[in-house]
Amino acid sequence: MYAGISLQQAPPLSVPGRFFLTAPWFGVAAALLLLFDGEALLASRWSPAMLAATHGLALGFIATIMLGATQQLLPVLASAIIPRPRPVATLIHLLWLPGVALLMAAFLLLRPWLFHAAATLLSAALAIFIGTAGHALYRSESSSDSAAGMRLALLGLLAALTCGVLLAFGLAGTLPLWRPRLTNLHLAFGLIGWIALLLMAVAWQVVPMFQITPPYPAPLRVRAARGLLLLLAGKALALGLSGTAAVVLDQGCNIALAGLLAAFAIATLRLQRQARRKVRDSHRDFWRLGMVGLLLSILCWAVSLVFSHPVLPLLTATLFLLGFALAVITGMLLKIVAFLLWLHLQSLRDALLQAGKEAFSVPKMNAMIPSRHGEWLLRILIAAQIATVVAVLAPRFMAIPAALLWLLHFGYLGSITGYAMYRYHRIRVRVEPHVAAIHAPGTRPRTTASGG
Amino acid sequence: MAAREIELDCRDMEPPEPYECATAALRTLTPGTYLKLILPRRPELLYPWLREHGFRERTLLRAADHCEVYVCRDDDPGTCAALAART
Repeated sequence: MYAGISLQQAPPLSVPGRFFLTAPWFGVAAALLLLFDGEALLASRWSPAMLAATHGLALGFIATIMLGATQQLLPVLASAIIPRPRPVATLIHLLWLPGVALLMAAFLLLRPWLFHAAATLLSAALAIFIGTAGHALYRSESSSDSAAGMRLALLGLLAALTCGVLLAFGLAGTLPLWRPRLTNLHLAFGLIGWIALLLMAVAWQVVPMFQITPPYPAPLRVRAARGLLLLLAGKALALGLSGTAAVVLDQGCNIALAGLLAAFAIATLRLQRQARRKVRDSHRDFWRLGMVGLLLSILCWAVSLVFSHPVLPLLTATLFLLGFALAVITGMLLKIVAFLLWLHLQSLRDALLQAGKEAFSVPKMNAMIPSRHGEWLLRILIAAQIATVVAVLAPRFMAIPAALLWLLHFGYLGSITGYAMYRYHRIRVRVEPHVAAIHAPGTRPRTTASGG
Repeated sequence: MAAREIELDCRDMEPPEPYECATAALRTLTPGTYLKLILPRRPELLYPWLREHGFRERTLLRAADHCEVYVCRDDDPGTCAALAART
C-alpha cells in the first residue's frame, strides 16, 4: 500500500505554495459577502450572493487548495510525474484566480460577458490541469488505491466542469438554462465526484500515516471510489429519462451515494479510535469534525426525504461544504504546509552537509506551524460552523456573527500559512549563498559517508 | 564477534519523526553495530539519505503495517554480510 510513496519526486515548493497562499483570501471574500449581504444571501440557494459565496468557497478556497495539493501529491502518492511542473502550475494559477473572481462577480452583477469570461478562464485552467494530471496518472504504473481514486476524481471534476460551463452559458443567455436538474448534477459531480472522491483517495494514505491508525478496510478502499462515480453516472443517466423511471433511478443512486459516504465517515471515525498514538492532535480533530459534518449532512438529506422544507437542501449543502470538506481541507493544509517546509529545509540542510558546509538546524514541523495555531483554528471553525447552521435557520440574527467568525477563520489561516512560508523563505535567503556555491561550476559535492 | 543491534521502534511516530530519529541514530553508528528500525510502512524518505551517507539497508515487509529495516555502515562489510543473510 505504501510502496508508491516517493517523496524525492516531489515538485518545487512554489508549485503547491502559490495555491495554498492564495486560497484563504477567497474564503475572506466569501465571508465579506455574508457580512454585507447576509440576509439576502441566505434567503435561497439561488440568490446571487449565495451563488457568488458558494463558488468563492468551493472554487476559490476548496478547489484552489485541491489543485495545489494534487500537483504536490501526484508524484508522492501515485508516482505520477507532471513534466515541467513550475510553468504548468503558473499557467493554471494565472487562469484560475481571475476565473474564480470573474465568476463571483458574474453571479453578483448578472452580466453575460462576465459569465463568458469566467467560463473561458476556468475551463482553460481545468483543461490544462486535467490534461497534465490525467496524462501523468495514466502513464503512472502505480496500482495503489490512491492513484485509482485520483484518476476517478479527475473524471468527476471533468463532469462537474462540463455541467458548470453549460450552466454559465445558460446564465449568460447563450444556451437554455436547464435548472434545477443540471444544477443538481453539477453539484453532485462537484461535491461528491471531485471533492469527496479526492479526499477519500488521499485519506487511504494520509489518515493511517499521520494519525497512526490501521489501514482502511480493503473492500472500502477498492470499491468506494468506483462506486461513487458509477452512481453519479446513474444520476446523469436519470437526467435523460422522464417520469417514474427517472425519479426511481435518481433517488436510488442518491441513497446508495449516501450509504457509501456514510461508510467512509464511519470507517474513518473507527480507525481514529484504534489509533496507536493517543496524543491530542488538531489534524486528527479536523478530520473527526469533518466526518461528523459529513454524517450530519447525510442525516439532514435523509430528513429532507421525509419532510419537505426549503431550508433542508440548503442545510445539507452547508453541512457538506463547510462541515465536511472545509474542515478536512483546513486540517490537511496545515499538515501539508508544515511537512513540505520541513522536507525542503531538510533537503537543503543535507545538500550543505554533503558539500562540507556549515548547516543550520531544521525547525521541527511543530515549530513551523505551532500546534496551538491548529487548536485555535479548530475552535474558531467549530464556532463558525455552528453560527452558520443557526444563520441558515435565522439569518436576521446570526448572519453577521457567522460572517465575522468566517473572516477570523480564513484571515487566521491565511496568516498562519503565509507566516510559515515567510519563515521558510528567510532561512532559504540566509543559506542561499552557500547553496549557490555548491551548484557553482567545478564544485562537486562530497560523497564520503558521514555516518560515523 | 557478533554484530550488536540497536533497535528503534517508530510505529507510534508520525512523519517525519521516524526519519529524524533514524538519521540521528545513524550518525553515531559505530563499526560492529547495526540499526533495526520498526515502522508501519517502507521509509521511502530515508532510502536516498542512506545511499548518500554511506549506509546499506535490508528491508523486510513482515505485514501490511509492519516493516523492518536493518541498516549497517557501508565500510563495515562484516556486519553488512550478517544482515544480508537475515530473513
